[in-house]
Amino acid sequence: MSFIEQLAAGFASALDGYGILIMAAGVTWGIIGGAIPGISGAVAMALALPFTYGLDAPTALVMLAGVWAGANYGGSIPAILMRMPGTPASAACLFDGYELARQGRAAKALGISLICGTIGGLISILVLIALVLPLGEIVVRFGSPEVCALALFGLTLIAGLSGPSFLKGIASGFFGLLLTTVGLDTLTGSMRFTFGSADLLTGIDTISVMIGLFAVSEMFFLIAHPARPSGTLVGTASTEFPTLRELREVGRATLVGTIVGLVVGIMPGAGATASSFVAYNEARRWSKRPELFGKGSLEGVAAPETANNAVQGGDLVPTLALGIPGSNSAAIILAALILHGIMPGPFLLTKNPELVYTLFAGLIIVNLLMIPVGILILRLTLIAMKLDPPVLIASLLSLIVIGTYAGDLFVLNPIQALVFGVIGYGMRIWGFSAAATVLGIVLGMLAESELRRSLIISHGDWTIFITRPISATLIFLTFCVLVYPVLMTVLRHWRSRRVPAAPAAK
Amino acid sequence: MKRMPVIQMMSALAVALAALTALVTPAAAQKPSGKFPTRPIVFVVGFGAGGGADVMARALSEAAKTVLPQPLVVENRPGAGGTAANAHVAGRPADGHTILFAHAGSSIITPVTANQPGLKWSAFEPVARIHAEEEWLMVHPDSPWKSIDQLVAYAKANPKKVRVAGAPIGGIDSFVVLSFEKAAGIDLEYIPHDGGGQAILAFLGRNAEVVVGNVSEFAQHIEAKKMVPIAVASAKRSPIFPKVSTLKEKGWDVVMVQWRSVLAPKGTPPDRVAALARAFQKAMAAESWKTFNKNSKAVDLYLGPAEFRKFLAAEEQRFTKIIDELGLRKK
Repeated sequence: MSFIEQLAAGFASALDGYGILIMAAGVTWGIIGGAIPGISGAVAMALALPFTYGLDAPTALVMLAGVWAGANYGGSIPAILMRMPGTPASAACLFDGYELARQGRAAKALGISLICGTIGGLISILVLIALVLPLGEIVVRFGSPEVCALALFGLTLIAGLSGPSFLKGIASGFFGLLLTTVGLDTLTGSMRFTFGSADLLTGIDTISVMIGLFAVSEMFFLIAHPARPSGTLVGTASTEFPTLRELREVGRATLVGTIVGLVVGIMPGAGATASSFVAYNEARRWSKRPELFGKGSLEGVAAPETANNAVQGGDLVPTLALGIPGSNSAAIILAALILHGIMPGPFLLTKNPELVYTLFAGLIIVNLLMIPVGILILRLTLIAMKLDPPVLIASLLSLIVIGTYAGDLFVLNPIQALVFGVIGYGMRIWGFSAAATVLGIVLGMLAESELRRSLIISHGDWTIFITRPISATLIFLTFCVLVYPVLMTVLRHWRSRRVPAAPAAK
Repeated sequence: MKRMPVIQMMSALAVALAALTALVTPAAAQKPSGKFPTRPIVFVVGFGAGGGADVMARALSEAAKTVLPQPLVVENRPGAGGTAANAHVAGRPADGHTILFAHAGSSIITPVTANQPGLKWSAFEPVARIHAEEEWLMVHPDSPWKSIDQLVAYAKANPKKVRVAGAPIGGIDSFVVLSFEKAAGIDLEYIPHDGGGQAILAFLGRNAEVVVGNVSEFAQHIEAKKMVPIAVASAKRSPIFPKVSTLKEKGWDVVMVQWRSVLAPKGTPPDRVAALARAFQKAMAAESWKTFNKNSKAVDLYLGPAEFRKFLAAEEQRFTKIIDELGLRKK
């Protein structure tokens, strides 16, 4: 059977029977689960897993694919409306998304997140379908040095997130890095900063801390400064969706997001969260209007949301080509396969091609389904946002406590969310950057463990980072990014010293 | 006295009712009734969904459907090397409706190294040992070492040169390697990764010369000729690869399998523990379980409550000795 015939058969299989309804149900649950703060895509999929036992393997896969796709978008809904990341991967879109909501343009931001996310998801799936095997060969070239270099490259964003005081920004970033050291260290088995408590062995819970630093602190702020004359939390929330012209404006950012999502998705260890931050950084670097970032730039929403959806394709490369899950979400897809008696591994494509092509078809369909389902849920959420602020804030705080508990059923998670809410509020008053701290947490964790692992691999030789081509490129780019502004300042200074000499010479 | 507005009175009433209900319900749940189980049994797993432990628990739950009148529901409580789940289950009512997934790492090694006796297997009721997977050492097909003796000879001459990729320190993978190093008198470079899959990726990317783990994770890669077994840490040679020697037969007493089992909170009535054990034994005869074992190349190793308890005590002694020899215990 030719490639097209196999894909067509995949579509037939995915749409067979109640297929479309099941996929729509998956997408709906995914968006809702993603929107509930504390429930990530992987948790939403895990909660849906028992429902797949009674289904046959292809249907089970496409339903889980629906949940996965939906959750990638769902997280941006509370992030934009309430500065509350529904999933860690949606944190990067709140910088501009929430600003847009405060300017009354929430629906534009949400619309961009939905449409650009869908575009990113579709492109990454198409790339996956076309290149899964060759990409499977490349994925093993991305080792610890490469991931470490990528994390360092992403950490340069701290400069952009610092706000007025660069020093406080760096301090905030280091605070984030410090937080990631808490817990059981997998590289030595030693316990760091656990103060003898078994509860702290896991370390901090990233999503709870993010919700605390961004959302809970914001709610404390709103309680302290109730200032909205119109009475609603997001200003006069218009439900106007983005126009075609606005979509064209974010085209460049969407492209950046797609590329970053694909590349970072393929890298083992780095996932949707890291890719959304790197995409935000890159979109700003290549934007025609970088000064708008942080003040309500549509590109600032398009890039991270596209990236976190585009990671889907990348995650599935090692998953399908090697049987090694590229992320927690992909691990659940594999679990579903195992529970249906199918062993994942390098032979999945040759031994069960119909299944794989059904998954491909399913992924395309669910990404498309996101648009109608997404718009529906959007309209409902916007109505809910019209509640009185005190009622809304109280409801959201309850939702935060429930959501952060529901994922791992660990009582320390909601406590972290509340404690970091206080810390985040303090940081805000004293000019520190919660965003830099979150970046430090997300990328710092990756940078530290991969750095140490790289040094074990190289027997302590630091040159491993520059002798390997991919890692060397990333280190070089990081260096350029750090040095460029300094270089520019020096050049400008030098040029301005020379200019007075010229007219005198005339 | 000012009259309370209706809304406040109603809320006070609601709170009072809720409080009363909360007080009554746990007592009611603990009342021992004859029948068991009377509601779904919660199977707590200390690892994330999709991982080896989780998949085994789900497969066992599927198989148990044919045997138990109530379903087994898997609840993931990842964290702290699996011991977060232990801590949770220790606080649950001991009525047989909550059970805990356990393997050597989560029920012996981590509690001992972290000095948390309340999380060790002995703080629970052993129910049954279910199955086990062997630990294998694999090398690249073009590796210069065609036998484990050659690897050991090279390692002796080149300390810390041979890199072995595996799962985090504190898990069985790391123990196999550390014990092997001690027994053979060699110095390897162990590279812990965040999971078996990541270790395999590192190995495939030539960032390690050897990879250690379960054969279920390796099976398809072996078939794809990306790795070749060089030794197994079992008591006897494996029927899957009869030409591959065990570490034991070469004189290095390293026998460690990744066994998986079920525990229950301390104080669970013995008849309920026995009922659960019997149910699992029957479930292991189910078609779905047999397929699962066949695919994961695992071996059924059922032990009932009494023998399992003896086995756990022996395992703890064995592991504690190794932990102390390797100096891993938290000071």
